Amino acid sequence: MRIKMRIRRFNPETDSSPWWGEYWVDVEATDRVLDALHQVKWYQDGTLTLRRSCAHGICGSDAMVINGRNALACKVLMQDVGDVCQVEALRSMPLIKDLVVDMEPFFAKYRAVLPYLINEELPAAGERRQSQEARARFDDTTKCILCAACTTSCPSFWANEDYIGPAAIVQAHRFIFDDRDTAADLRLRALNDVDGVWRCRTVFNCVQACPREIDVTRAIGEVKLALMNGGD
Amino acid sequence: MTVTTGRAARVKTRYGAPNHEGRIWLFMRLSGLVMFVTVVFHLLYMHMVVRVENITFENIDARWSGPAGLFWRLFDASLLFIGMAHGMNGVRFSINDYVHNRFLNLMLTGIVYGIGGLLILAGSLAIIFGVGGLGRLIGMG
Repeated sequence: MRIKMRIRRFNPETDSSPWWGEYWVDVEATDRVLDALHQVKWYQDGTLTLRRSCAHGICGSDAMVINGRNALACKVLMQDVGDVCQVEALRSMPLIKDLVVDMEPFFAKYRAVLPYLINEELPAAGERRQSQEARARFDDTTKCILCAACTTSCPSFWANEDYIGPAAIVQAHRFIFDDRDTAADLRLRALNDVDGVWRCRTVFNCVQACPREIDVTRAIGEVKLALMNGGD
Repeated sequence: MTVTTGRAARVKTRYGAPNHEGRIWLFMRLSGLVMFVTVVFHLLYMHMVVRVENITFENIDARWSGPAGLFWRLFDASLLFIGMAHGMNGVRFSINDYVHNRFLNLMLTGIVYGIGGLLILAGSLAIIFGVGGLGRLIGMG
């Protein structure tokens, strides 16, 4: 099948503002948007710039806006995009070039929730054991791959870039409800702010955008309830 | 097998109360639930029982003065206070989301509170003095 790719291009050295480039590509119905972008880059315009690494929905580096929705280019099939496939960089992030955005503000917020296990006590027998029930409590939020699709789909984040965003809250959730961790209070304190978890307006865009099908809004709701209940 | 448990209880003792925004979030959730019941009842009652063509000042005045007058005044007062507080706070959310200039933000928030306060005052006077009483109070009756 022959598909028109509309790609939002921007070269900071030559362009004053982004523009739409149009390219025709021949693809199989089961090819992915990433394959179509490769066709453009490898055979039509080598200056097209994009991030991708594993190309199999695990590393989260090729999140972009595809036909208006945030998704991983390596997980969207061409048969699902229609006759025209419109691709642009993630919204509300500093644009570096073409489809590449500066992820540093995103990772600064990620670091703010202390996304690592904190427990000063030495494990009893060389490892910290955990029941299946305790693990299930935060299983959903362990699936996050930090692609930023949720945060950049959030209208609260579009309106106010100081908002910590759903991805950081999901990462906080993963440790707040881990019974091996002892620093939930520090994370909750970081999120108990007008630009923290309370900026969430329950729009559910994050749930639609998540390529890992994490129930993001539920996780945010659980963190809000933990704050209301004073910790759990 | 040793399984780590009980962290939640420890956190509970160490972590303090939710802040102002947290309490407002809870208010929005609870007031939304209350309004779901009261507003649906209000709509059904006014449209199905009273019927639209009969919603007049005289009709409301009669209801407030009738045998169940106290119930209707309290019911309408709950609609007024909860609805206005919920609505004004929603507008405040939007202003805080989109207006980043501190002066403009304060000004718009002040205007919203001002308009909201006037509407609450007018509604309260009507509920306390009755529809006709309010008219006489402001010299229009």
